[in-house]
Amino acid sequence: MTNNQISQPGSIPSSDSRRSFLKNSAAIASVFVAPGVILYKASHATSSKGAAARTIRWGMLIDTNAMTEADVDNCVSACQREHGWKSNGQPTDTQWIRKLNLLDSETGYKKSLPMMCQHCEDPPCVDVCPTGASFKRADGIVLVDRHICIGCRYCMMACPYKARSFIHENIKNQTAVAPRGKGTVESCTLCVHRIDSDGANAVPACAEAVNSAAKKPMVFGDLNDPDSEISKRLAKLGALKVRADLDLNPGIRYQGL
Amino acid sequence: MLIFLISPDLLAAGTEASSIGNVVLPRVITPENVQQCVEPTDIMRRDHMKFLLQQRDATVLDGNRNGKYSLTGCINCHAQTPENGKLVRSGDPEYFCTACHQYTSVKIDCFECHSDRPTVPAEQLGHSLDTQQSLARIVSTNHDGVHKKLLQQVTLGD
Repeated sequence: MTNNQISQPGSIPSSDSRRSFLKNSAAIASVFVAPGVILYKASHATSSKGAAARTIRWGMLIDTNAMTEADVDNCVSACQREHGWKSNGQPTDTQWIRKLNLLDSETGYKKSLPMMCQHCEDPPCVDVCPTGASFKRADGIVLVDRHICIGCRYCMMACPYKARSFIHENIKNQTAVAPRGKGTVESCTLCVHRIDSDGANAVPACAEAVNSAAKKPMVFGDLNDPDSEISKRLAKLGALKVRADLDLNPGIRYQGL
Repeated sequence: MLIFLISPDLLAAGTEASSIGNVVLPRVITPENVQQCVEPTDIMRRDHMKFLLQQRDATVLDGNRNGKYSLTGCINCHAQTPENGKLVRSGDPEYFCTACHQYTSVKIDCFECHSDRPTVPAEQLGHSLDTQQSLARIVSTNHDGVHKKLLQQVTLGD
């Protein structure tokens, strides 16, 4: 070996081995990355195949003119049967859905309507949740992940519709589709278990209870699909968003208010 | 009187179970003619909680209810009431989950919220392929057998 060769910043053999080392490690890295990428794609594919797709925004149109007070009561009891909750009329009782009685004191005009989670596009309950338990699914349904809910009830304070309630006591004999437990907050899920199974053909329990061949006051569907029944009825007659001034863009719309 | 009637059964159960030294192994209830769970037994014993956690998040966050590791799927096969048998609830030591969790001193709180009863009767396990998991598909091979004698008690040592 000559002095000249030694003084070179990187002799040929060492440079070679270094290059091959980098090449090899890059190859290894890509091997490690590739399964990760494939895994990611696979899991992504299964989740979109499952149910919640970003292209969809589920909503419901409620025509209060076509609903009697008894219809609203039927909505509430159907929800109770479906999800196994009870209400004894106490202020702190569970209320996935409730009957609102409106009275125009000037004319004496009365109206009843079902009020539940409005599944906002910009839900304030999600904004305030300290643990991320309150969340909005890709298809617009606002839910509580009760595995991580700590029961702080911030979301109940934030909700302008008073749609959420807190479970104060131990519960037994829950239904399989609606796991519920003490110390967590809950609200209308838009019958998400039915939606996950039946997609656009799903009918939430409340709508199922009042819809008949003669009338269909509660229409569930995809607000993003211009050909869906709900979109067509909205395009024809329009509808009211409750507390539209808050700019939350709720997915539940009311006609006849 | 009731205690007197039940206790011989419990005693019998205790003596029949295999044991290591003085430690009696838990008795685990599995459907009679199921050859295999959604994964081999050794994997299920070690990793069932990981499968359930993953499936839980996929279901709650993404709405994917078609996975094979669902808690409902477990319960539908493992928590069926044997014919003429006592209704076993999650708090009882005979309950499928509780049997092992008591043995290993694991405290879970799944059943504080989740239902511990099957969503389908034993005789319909095989007919609801859309909603049931792979385990139910295996069960479907013999409806009559499932109906007549659903459960067989086997020990972990077998």
